[in-house]
Amino acid sequence: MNSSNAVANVILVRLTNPEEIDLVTQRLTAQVKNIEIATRQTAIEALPGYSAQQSTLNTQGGFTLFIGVLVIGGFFQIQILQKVAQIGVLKAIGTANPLVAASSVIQIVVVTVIGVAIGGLLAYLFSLTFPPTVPIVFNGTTSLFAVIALLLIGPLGGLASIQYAVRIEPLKALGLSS
Amino acid sequence: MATMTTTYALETRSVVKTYQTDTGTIQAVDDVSISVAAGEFVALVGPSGSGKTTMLSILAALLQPTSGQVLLDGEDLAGMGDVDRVAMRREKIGFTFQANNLVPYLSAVENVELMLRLNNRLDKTGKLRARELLARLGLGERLNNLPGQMSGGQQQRVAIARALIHNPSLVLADEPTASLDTERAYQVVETFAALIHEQKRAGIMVTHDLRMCEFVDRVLLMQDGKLVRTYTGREEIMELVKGGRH
Repeated sequence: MNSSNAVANVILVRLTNPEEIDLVTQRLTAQVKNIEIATRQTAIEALPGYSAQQSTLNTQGGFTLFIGVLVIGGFFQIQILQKVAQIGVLKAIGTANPLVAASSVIQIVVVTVIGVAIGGLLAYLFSLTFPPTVPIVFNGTTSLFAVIALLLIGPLGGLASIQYAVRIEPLKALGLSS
Repeated sequence: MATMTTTYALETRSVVKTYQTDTGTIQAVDDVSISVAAGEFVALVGPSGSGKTTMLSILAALLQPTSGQVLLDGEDLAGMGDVDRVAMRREKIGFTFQANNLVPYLSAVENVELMLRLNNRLDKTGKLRARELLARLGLGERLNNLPGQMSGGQQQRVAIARALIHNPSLVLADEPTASLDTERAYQVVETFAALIHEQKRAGIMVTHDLRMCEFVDRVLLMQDGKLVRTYTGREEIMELVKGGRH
């Protein structure tokens, strides 16, 4: 390396036996001057702006899930509001609260599973059209994490609506209250 | 000489219901005691604010009285907790309401079967009985119709079938003819009365339409929360019906 015209050379080394990394590191350090050795992950994370960009993306992902909780919660709340009279009649004729709650949970889970399945399929199909220059990778772990998170936020978002359904007073719902 | 004792399916003893408001205490039901035998159809009438709807809500185990007893088959609804009252509503009481009666996405027969399903009694016999009851109510051709595909009178008849299918001791109807024209109203109440008599249920109908009292065995008149008069006997009831006034 010429000090008046600093140029960094990057050489990638793939080990046939990853356990020998310490040994190879020692040899390279002993044999080459001004060398810095890092794993691939450490090198990527050391890229200028990488950590900041990754942090922004993670924050966006977190907020998307949070907004998902609010949207799904609002969706199910509206659904329950539209059914107040029906739930009132059902409770008046003797439907117990645990059954009302269980029915709401089943409905929320089924709708969420169908929604996530459709969303996951569309995301996968969309990812196939990405050009290689788009720096997003849909690997198994991140996709699975997103699917599980979405499946969990459905019932979480619907909790308020379940509580609302259970609290519906049949007398008020039927217009019989004084 | 042998003495006859009447066993009532429903008895209320000195039922009182008061509400606290900003302006003071409102006595919605004031010391009302009534008895209805199995197979007897009774009308509860009175002007607006007379307390008849509050009384119906208490009889339906939907509202707790402030004091008094409500005995259904000897069990006091007033002394029960919420869970037991829900069970009583499911097992021993049948309802028809003014509107919003049926589950809109269930067919006529499914709406009727719903009561059996809630009571874990939906078997082949129950399904057959639901169809027979609907056929008896003139809805044999409408079994698989959704409520939205039926007229108001047909929907009320489905509600009557649902109120009776699980063999309740007490059947309550809140203004069952409110949304019907005169002809359909007569048909609905006449059929309702016939089924109550046949199946030996205790039936109570709240109505503002005195013409519908033609089909009942007794009329109870409420005013200002009190039971002020009882009309018994065909002649007395028909006089009330023709007079058209409370």
